[in-house]
Amino acid sequence: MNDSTCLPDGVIEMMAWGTDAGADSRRHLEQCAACRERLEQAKSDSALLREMVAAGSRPREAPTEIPGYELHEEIHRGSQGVVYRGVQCATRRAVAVKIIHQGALASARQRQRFERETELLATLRHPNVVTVHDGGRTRDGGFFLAMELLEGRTLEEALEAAAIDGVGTPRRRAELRRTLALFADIADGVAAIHRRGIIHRDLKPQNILIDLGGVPHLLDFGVARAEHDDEPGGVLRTLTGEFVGTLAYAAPEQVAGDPRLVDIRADVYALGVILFRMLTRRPPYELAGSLASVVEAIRSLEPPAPSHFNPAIDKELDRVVLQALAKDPARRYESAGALERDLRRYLAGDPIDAMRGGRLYLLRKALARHRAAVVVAVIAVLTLAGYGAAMAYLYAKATAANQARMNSLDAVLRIVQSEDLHRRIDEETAERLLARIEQSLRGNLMDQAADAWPHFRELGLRQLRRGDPAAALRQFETALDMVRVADASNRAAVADLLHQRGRAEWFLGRYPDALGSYQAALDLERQLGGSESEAVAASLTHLGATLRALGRLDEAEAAQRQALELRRRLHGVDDARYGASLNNLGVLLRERKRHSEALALFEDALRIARRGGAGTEGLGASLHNLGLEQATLGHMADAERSLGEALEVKRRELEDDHPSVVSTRNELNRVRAAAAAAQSPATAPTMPPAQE
Amino acid sequence: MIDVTRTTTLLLEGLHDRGDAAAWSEFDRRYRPILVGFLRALGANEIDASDVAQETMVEFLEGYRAGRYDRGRGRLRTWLMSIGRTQLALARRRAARRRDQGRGAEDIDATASKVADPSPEDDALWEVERRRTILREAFERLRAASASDGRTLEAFELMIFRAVPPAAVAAELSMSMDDVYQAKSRITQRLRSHIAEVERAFEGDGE
Repeated sequence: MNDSTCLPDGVIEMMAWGTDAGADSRRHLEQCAACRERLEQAKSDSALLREMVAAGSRPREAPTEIPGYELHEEIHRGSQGVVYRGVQCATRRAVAVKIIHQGALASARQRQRFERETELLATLRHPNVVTVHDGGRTRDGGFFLAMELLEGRTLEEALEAAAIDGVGTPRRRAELRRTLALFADIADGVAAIHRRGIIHRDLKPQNILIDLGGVPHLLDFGVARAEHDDEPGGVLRTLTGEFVGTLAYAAPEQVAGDPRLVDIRADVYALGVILFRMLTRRPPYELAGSLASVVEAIRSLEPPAPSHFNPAIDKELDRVVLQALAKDPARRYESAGALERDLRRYLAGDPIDAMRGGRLYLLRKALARHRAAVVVAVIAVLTLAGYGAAMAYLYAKATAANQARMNSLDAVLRIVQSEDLHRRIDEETAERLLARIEQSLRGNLMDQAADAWPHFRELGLRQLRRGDPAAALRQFETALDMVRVADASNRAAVADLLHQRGRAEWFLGRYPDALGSYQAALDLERQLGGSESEAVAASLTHLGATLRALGRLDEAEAAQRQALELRRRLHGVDDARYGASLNNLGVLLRERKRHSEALALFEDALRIARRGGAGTEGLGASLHNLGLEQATLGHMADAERSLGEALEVKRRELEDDHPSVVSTRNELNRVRAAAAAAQSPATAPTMPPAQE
Repeated sequence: MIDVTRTTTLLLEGLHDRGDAAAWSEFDRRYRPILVGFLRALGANEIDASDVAQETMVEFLEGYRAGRYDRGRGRLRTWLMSIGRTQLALARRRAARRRDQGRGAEDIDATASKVADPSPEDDALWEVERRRTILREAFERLRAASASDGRTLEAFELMIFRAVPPAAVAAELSMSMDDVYQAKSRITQRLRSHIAEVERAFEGDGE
């Protein structure tokens, strides 16, 4: 090489990487300042690049890493992984392929869950849930999901865009209906995954894609984040890392940090927040401040009615949203399906479940449907109204023959129970009637109280059974007032009504009130018949449950043991009431973490329940509790069997989304997941491609 | 990718504004990876490092908002290192306790912790992780910005990441050798400017 000719780039590069380029090149370099500078630059470039590679920068993933798929461009890069546009080789179908970072599925349990849920999702076809075609391992040991390729924008983007355009809040009726219909589809999708036993856990507008045809699809099932959610404080740890705002969709029980409390109703809550935002373009509460104060807000701030921000929203819709957002999961819709059905009822103009609590609404609904329970309410009220305006109205409407008989209670009963009552009284009239009747009640009709109070008691019991303790409480209080005024010597009635009042208070969560009621009932019962009566045992049991709810566990245990002993003496060891007491004591001991004692009690309770005396309700509860205890003690196969039978028993009498059924199904799924995780096979099964 | 228009100093101001959720997520995006690397360098495994980094970030945010960290009297990196070290020690203690007791209810007393002072070695570890984070970020930005220049980038990646010899790269992509070398030096120059840009955004966490 000629010394005066500058070195070509290739030679400079070789030298920069430390390769000897020969004597000529070295000689040239000694003479040529320009080439020395080029070499220095190239060396420094190479050092920088080596440093960059060492820093963990990676090129784009090679398109051949997933067997059976071609990967094209990147669509989205998130915290869990990267989504590519791709093609399934066998079918030439365009798909979205999500490659999950290895770190996102770090533990064997997470991988187990990922595979189980992918498998469940791969068999699910629902218009509002993104279709998962396939899932499994990549060549380098990572994980992937092949999904239906959807185009559109996320609900979050849609909400933000609408907010910016200033056309956001749906105020016109047609807009409102479109919004609700869209939401009902989303809830339907959530209900579908719930039916597969999957809790989404991460529902938020970012995870809902509205396709170009306006159809919503659920994405991102939170499979990868599920692990953290199973640890105390897990949700917080997962969520705060991203963005505190995501907490807006977390249910109170999720931020409470006890994963045992989280079931599908956490998704119902998230849906409530989403619906609130869709209707008002704002979150139910502003979450700001320290993490602790945000958590506190989620747990304690009552959400305002959405109508406060959007006057187009009526009371009924308010109730739907607020019921989805209830702090206590027990007060929420029991499933996404229940929420969805109520919304569709609302859209169709039918009475909604969320309004059940309202007395007037109840009457209206009953008049529309002619339900027996409400007829009793009407009877009770009409009886008291006597010859008031309300009665006169009915009287006027009744046939002449009926008029003659209306002076007797029985006659009124027959008339109001007659088939065509609902046709004779329209809703407005019923409303007026009720107002008049209440007025009369407070006035001069207490002299009829002696006859009337059993009706109120009966009505209260029905309302309690139907799950309306607030209304029931009013009936019991009215009945109690009546007995005290009109029939004060009837102390057995007073004791009974005190007990019933305690039950209503208990269901409402007013434990200190309930405690007072039960104690008063118990005192009275003991005065009346001594300590040896079933009434005393019943009150003791309820007192025990109330003390437990108040955290006074020693006293609770004493009360339950007293009740158990009393029932054994009164009814013997094969009686269903004795079984109920065994069960109650078991629940308490379970809470006190005395698991083997609890297990023995549940087993004994089940023995009695299997004899049939406790009815299916008692049998289902015994099996459920036994299953929980077996799971706690690590007897997974037993637990699965008990819970499976509990589910079967409950489903004989209850609907699929009844809270009791849902709760057992949740427990069963949890046990199955835990059992599957415990096995943790060395090699993960690959999934067959889903059939179309 | 990070938002280079906000320096760390600006982010720290933003953290005081509770409505500024973007400040927190941006701050988190920058410093969590450094923390994870730092904790791994201290011997934590991948899962523990990510858990402890999470706890550290939250602890820092709460303390910072509560005024426990005064920028006039300390450096951001010192705070994060101290909290990180302390949280790691707590996590190890918890793990040890769990091993001792089997699976019991555990009480977490992170707030009652004393903050350990970082050593000069810590500083060096931190600096390494910070540099690595900046490089990774710069490369991501580079890749996003070079998307329209696909062949140049591809040549570069084959050479740098897959160690394909320049001649083979030239043959595979039907480029001249000269083009291949130029690709490397052009991309490297761009990388340098991205590094400088990211460095500027990280301003305010050190001295």
